[in-house]
This record gives sequence, structure tokens and C-alpha cells, in this order.
Amino acid sequence: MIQDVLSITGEYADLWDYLKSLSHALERANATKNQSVELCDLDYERLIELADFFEDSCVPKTIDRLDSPESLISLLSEKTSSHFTSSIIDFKDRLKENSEFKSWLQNSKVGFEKKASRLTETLREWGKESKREHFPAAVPEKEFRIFYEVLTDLMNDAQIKMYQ
Amino acid sequence: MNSTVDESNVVYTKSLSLIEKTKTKIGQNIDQQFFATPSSEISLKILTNILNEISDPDVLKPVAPHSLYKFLIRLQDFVQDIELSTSAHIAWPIVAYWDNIWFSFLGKDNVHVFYSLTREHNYSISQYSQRLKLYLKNIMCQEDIDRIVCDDIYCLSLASIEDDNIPLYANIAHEFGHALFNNRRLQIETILIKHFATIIFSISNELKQDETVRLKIIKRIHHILLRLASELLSDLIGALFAGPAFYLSLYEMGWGGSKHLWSVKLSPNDENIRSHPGFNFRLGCIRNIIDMKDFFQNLRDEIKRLNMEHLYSALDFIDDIPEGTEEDRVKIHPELDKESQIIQPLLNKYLHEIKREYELFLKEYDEIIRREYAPIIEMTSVNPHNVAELMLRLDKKILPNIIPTPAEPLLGTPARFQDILVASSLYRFNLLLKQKSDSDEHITKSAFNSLSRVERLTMKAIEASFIQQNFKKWNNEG
Repeated sequence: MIQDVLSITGEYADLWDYLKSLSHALERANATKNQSVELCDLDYERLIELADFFEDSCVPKTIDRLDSPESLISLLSEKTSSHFTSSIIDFKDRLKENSEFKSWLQNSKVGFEKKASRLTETLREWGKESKREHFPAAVPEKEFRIFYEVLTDLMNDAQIKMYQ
Repeated sequence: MNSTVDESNVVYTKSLSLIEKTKTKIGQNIDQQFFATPSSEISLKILTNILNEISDPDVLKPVAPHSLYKFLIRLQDFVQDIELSTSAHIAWPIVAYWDNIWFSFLGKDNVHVFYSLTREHNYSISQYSQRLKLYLKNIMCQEDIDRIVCDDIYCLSLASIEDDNIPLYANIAHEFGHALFNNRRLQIETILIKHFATIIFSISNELKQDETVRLKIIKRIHHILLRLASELLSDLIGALFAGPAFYLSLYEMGWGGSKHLWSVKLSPNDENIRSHPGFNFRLGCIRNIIDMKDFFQNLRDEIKRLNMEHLYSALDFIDDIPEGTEEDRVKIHPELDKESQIIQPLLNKYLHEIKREYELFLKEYDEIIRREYAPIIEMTSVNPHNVAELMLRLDKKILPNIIPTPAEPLLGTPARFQDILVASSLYRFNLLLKQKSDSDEHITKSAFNSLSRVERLTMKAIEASFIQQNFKKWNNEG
């Protein structure tokens, strides 16, 4: 059988598709720097989804709340924004392995979580400003590149798992 | 970011062609007049609206062509579900009976179901509209999705290979249970968390991973417990709505496999985790829900009254179905999921406590269901006297659609669906047990002949019963 990413179905195919749609929105956002693309509601939704997915994965929750069965009840009642919560380890690992993020981290005084959080904030702020002004703000190229590379790595992982 | 402009354009054009092809396919292959139940029409309308929406180039402007193509590939399964929901594939008197139950059960909350087929030897229910919404998220903004897919629709797939095996239709009630679970997710989750908080908290204290990972593992365990609860709650509904027929049906579904295995299949999407409790535990829970002992004792008395003691064999067999759960164990796959090996030993360690909490949860929810759905439970209750009379008729190769009365031994009163279903299940088991004692050279043909005779008689009786009930209703209204 010839492996065909587009026609295969299953959970990892769903994950691949999800990541592809996030990556496409990021590509379109990046293309606004040439004024060749005008962003739509779907683009902004996907960018927010990317920020949420990233945040769920890399920004730690306050685990102190897990100090009693009662605190567990409130914690488990919270909903995560993304469906693909179990890719968390991969996302975090992939970000840690990303060469640009690594060198960025080395040249900075803040730790991994803070830096990861800053990355998400940059994406959120850019999305908000571009939507509000009806005109794209200056593209944070380095941050977008890191997101794009991590998403590509995750898509490759999902593609391999599709056939296992 | 290197753009693959050329490939995207080709995929985009191929997608546009597939949109038109799908529209044509729907127009040519689906005849609404033959839908087994009316809900198929609602589903078809949604699919048509989606196809019309994505035919607009402005809507497609921000969409990743690869995502669009993948969506259209998936859409073919949704179309096929509707294609297979016509009465050419579905036994309409049976699904019409269950559809009436569904309407009293969940229809008032505007939740719809339609019936289709699966090639698997199994029954399943899927959140048709929810799945569509999930896939649409990659190509459409939320506001548009909510506008187009505004109904809550389930697709209940019947086992196509078993479409003549009427007693297994009791499983439909179990599948309804899954819909109830989804519809009342918040309420059920609140009750469950209360039951399992201490266990999950103990498990969390055993995890040595960093905070983010620990939290994620706990959430996955929580999802596993939810899925297990969904199965057990669905068994509860199966037992309440289809009685001993569901018990036998579940027993049959467990043939061949280990009865002690609690299976969990992890997924990258926690909502798609699948988990099933061990069969012995499930059967034991059903025996606690419906008073099987009392029912079968009364049935024995009725069978004796009719001098049909040779029909005891199925009842004896049921008495001997093993109950032990001491050897139960949890097995988690796929192994490529890094966390399967972390979660599996923890769930095995606490399995005894987990089982105890499930029993308490079922007891609590049994009371809720009996209180809230008393009319349906009353309507679906099984009568041992009627079941014995119908088994006798099956034994005499007569249509089991009438319960004889002293005044009217021939015409009697019309039999009810649930009594026919249970009588047919038990009689069929008698046949399966009898065949075993026959010589091998005759067994193949005689098994086929006698089983297919019961299936045909049952199907006709259910059809006649359904028409009689409708006539009665129409006559009373007149």
C-alpha cells in the first residue's frame, strides 16, 4: 500500500490535520508582511487555538492545588481548550529541542516557562492588534518561525504514528 | 516558512471537484422516502448545507487546501452513514420501536438519532453532529459551524452481519445509554468525581513526574474512568430497557475473550479514549440491577405450568455463567503511547477500590433513572408469564405475537416488543445448547434451519406487534 497522508483516517490523522490547519493560519499571518494576504475570522480563531494549545502544553498549572481530594475535584472540572491534550510532552520536548528557541533561551536570563509564556503572549497580542486595527501589525518573525518549526516537527511525528 | 504554492493549488482544485462529486452522489444515491426513521432527513440537510457553504470561494479563502481535502474524504463516511439508513438496510419495525423509546428518553431535549449499519460485528453509537463540528473546526469559524450544525444528532450503527439476529437488538438500549451519558455529562461527571476523588488523589501522590506531566496523567486517568463509567451506565440503561435480553446479548458479545480484562485504548485526543470494563464485572452489575433471580424463578414456574420443562436448559445455562472478578486486570495500549506503562500499574493497584466505587455509582444512578424515567421502565418491563407463552409458541413454530387468554386462546392480546425480544433470546439459547448434543454431520444444517426460523418468526412477530400497537393508538384516538 502506498502511504497517503491525505486519505488516511484515524486519531493521528486527525491530529495531523489539526496541526496543519494551525500551521496554515500561521503561514497566512506571516504572509501579511508582504500585504499579499488579508486575514479572516478563521485565521484569528486558529491563531488563538494555537496559543491555547501551546499554553496548555508548556505553561505549568499551579499544582499546589492538588493538595487534597477536594482540590482535585475543582482541577478536574476545568476544561482544557484543545482536544489534543496528550501531545503535551511532545510539544514541550519539541520546543526544548528547537535550535532557535534554545539559543534565544541561552541569551536570556529568564527560564523555559517564562520564555514559553512570552512566546504565547506575543502571538496573542499580534492577533488582537491586527484584528482591532483591521491592518496587520509588524510580524514577530522569530516567534512565528519557532511556532512554525515546532508545528512541523509535531506534524512529522503524527505522520509516522498514523501508519503504526 | 517555505510555501508549497503549486501543490496547494492542485489539492484545492481536486477538493472543489470532490465537493461537486459528493453533491451529485447525495442526489443520486439517497432517496429520502425510504429513510427508516425521520432523523436521517435532518442529518442529510446538514450535510447539504455544509456542501453548499463550502462551495463559496470566499468561505474557502482562509482554508488550508490539504485540510479541506481531508475533510471531504472524511465527509464520505458521513454520507455513507445516511445512505445506509434506509429501510432497505434497516429493519424498520425494530428501529421504530426503539425510536419511540428514544423520543421519550432524549427526544424531548431535542436530541435526535438515526440508524445505520456498520460492517463490524458490533453495535455502536457516535455523536454524528459533534464529530462533524470537530472536523469542521479546521476549515470553518465557530460562528458558521454553530449556524449550520445546530441540531444534536447521533448515528446508531447496527451490526450488518447480525441484521437477522434479532435478540442482539437489545444492544440498542445500551447504545442509548452512551447518548444519555453525553447529554448529562456535567451531572454524571460531578457524581463520578465525588466517588473517585480519593482514589485519583492517592494515584497522583504516587506520580514522580514534573508538574505539567503529572497533571496531564491525572487528567488522562480521569478520562479513562469516565469512559469506563459510560460503558457501565450504558449497561444500566440496557438492563433497565431490555432486561434479560440485554444480559444475554452482552454475554454473547463477550464470547471468546478474557472475561477479566479491563481494556483501555489511549488516544492523542483524550475525549477519544476507549475503555471497557471486564465482562464478568459488567454481567455482575446487571444482575444487581435487574432482579434476575426473581425473574427466572417466575419464568421457571410459568414454563412448568405449560409442561415445557425442556426449555429449562437456557435458564440452567444462565445460572452457571461464571461471576468471579478476582482475576480482573487492566491492560492499556497502544504501547507507543509513553504513558500507557505509567498508568497501567497504577490502575491495577487500585482496581479493587475502583470497582467498589463503580458499584456505588451505579446504585446511585439506578435510583435517578428509575425516578426520572419511570414511565419508560414501566413500558419496557418484562412479564415472565408472557415470555413463557411466547417461548411455547416459538417451540410450536407459531408466530410469537399473541399472548393467549382463557377467553381468547386464539386471538388473545397482542404481545409486546420487549416480551418477544426476551422470549426469542431465551429460546434461541435453548437451540444453541441443543445443537451441541446433536451429531456433527447434522449440526450445520439443523443449526442454520432452526436459528433462521426463530429469527424469521421473531421479526414477523415484532412487525405484527408494532402494527397492532399503532392500530390500537390510532383506534383510541379515533
